Formats: sequence, C-alpha cells, structure tokens
Amino acid sequence: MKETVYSSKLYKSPAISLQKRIFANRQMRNSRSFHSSAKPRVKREINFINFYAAGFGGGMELNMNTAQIIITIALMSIGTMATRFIPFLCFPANKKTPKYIVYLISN
Amino acid sequence: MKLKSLKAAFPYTIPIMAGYMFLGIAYGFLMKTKGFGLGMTVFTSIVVFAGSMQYVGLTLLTAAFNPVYTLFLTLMINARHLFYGISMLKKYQGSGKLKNFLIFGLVDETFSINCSTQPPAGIDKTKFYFFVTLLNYIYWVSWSAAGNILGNFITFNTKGLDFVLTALFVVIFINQWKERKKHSAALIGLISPIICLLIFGQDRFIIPSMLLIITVLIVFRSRIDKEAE
Repeated sequence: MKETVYSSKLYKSPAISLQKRIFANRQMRNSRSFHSSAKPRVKREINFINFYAAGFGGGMELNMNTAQIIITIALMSIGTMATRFIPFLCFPANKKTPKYIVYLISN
Repeated sequence: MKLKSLKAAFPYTIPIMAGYMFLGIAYGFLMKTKGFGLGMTVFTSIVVFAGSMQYVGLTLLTAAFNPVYTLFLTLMINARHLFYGISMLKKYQGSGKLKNFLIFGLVDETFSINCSTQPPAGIDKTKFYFFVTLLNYIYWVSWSAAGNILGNFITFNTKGLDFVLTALFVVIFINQWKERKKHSAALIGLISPIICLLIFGQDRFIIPSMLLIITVLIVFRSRIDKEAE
C-alpha cells in the first residue's frame, strides 16, 4: 500500500525525468488492459456511424450512412412484401383472376 | 394439437433446412466480409426474408445510396412471387389471423412445399402451412446469423463466393426449363437481356430487359398461347 502511494507520488512529481515518463507511457501502451479496453473505445467513437451500420462492429468502409442503409433494407422489404401481398389484395379468392394476368405471370 | 401440426410439418422442411444451411451461412459470411455485423444481418433476414434478393442486396448496400433503383430491382427480382400468390389464393383462403404471416413468408421453398403437399389426415391445413412457413423462416434467420458469427472466427478468400447467387438463378432457370415442353417464353427471357446488355451496358441493362420481356410477351401473346396448348 505504502509503495503504491509512493510510486504514484513519484510519477506525478515534476522531479521525475522525461525519459522515465516516456518509459512508463510505453509500458502502459504495451500493457494488455490498454489494448483490450481503451483502444477499441476510441476507434468506435471515431467510426461510430460505420460501427452501428455494421451491427456489432464491422470492417469495410461503407458508402452509405446508417439511415441510408436502413432505408435501403426497408425498401427491399417493402418491394418483396408488395410482390407477395398484391395478389391476395387484388384478386380475392372468391373472384376469378383475369386471364391476362395469369398469362403474363405464368410465363 | 399444435405440437401435432408441428410434427407433421417438420419432416417436409428438412431438405429446406439443409439447403438453407449453405445459402444462409454463405449469406451471413458475405455480409461479414462487406462489413456488416450480426445485428444488421439478422435484421435484414428478419424483415426482407428473400434469399436471392438479399444476395443482390449485398451489392446494393455497399454501393451508393439509390432508393429508386433498389425498389425497382426488388420488384423485378421478386416478381415471381406474384405467381406464387396467385397459385396460393385458394389454399390460404380462410386462414384467419395467420394469413398475413403465411403471405409474408411465401418464399420459393415454402411455396414449393405448401403448393404441392396435402397436409396429413387429421392435421389442420392452416396450422400445417403455418409451421412450414415458420420453420423455414427460423432456418433462414438462424443460418444467416450462424454464417455471420462464423465470419468472426474464420477468414478465407471469399472471392467468387457471391457466384452462389448466379448459380441459384441458373438452377431456377433449369428447373423451369424442364417443367415446360415449349421454351419460347424462356428463350425470350434469355435473349432480351443479351440484347439489352449489348445496348445499355452491364450497369443499366436489367430494367430495360424486364420491360422488353413484358413487351415481347404481350406482342406475341397469341402465338405463345397456341404453343402452350
């Protein structure tokens, strides 16, 4: 306990040489905790748009922002659902489907 | 009763589970390589739920934002679903609350089962159709998620993996070719894009070729109808 207090005091003291500070700094950078927690957090803050676009962290640079990606996916969904729902909305089962439609689609 | 319907539906969906294993994992994996994580992959599979369209979507999502093209292309690629819908009008009649889900999940594979299979005796047909649809939905979402997770651990050269889509369309084309005796409609579908490709170029030929196909079909309707008879 005493030793910790002493070392932190020493670190903060202006008397410590620049060389020692650089060394301490390097050690901190090389330490595991620095890489596992601090570094990714900084990266995520910078690339936060890409990070969210990628769901849970992504790699490649994307040409769209998150809103544009969501809109593109929504349009894919709307287009798909339109093709699935239109027949049921336009041609109720109790009415006969026009021949022309049957011809065009079946070919 | 529900469990009975589920048990009846499950065996029919086993081949789909196996088929989706490759397609779904490859899709999830490709999403990962394009920079999309698990969240976005699962979200896309849940809301879009259309295999071939999602593969095309890979290109759309990495290109520049173009909503009109996205919507048009989706409608063109999934136009075959209109045909599925018309074929299922009677079968899905009277399915009550489940009807919207049945229509939502009417993908190629679900259509192929529900269209051709008669539910076993004593099984409610709506519940049978519902479980086929639900199981296929679960398979697709799960396999694409699995592929994306796998992408975190394995890295290999994915060059050429997106050829899966082209291969899928070739298989669909061959199936349709085999089903019919006369191939004039298929040939129109084959020749029109080639003509448009030469005129409009690789980036812009899809929509003109679709329009050309429809025009040719309308113009030569009587002749094609005679052939079919």
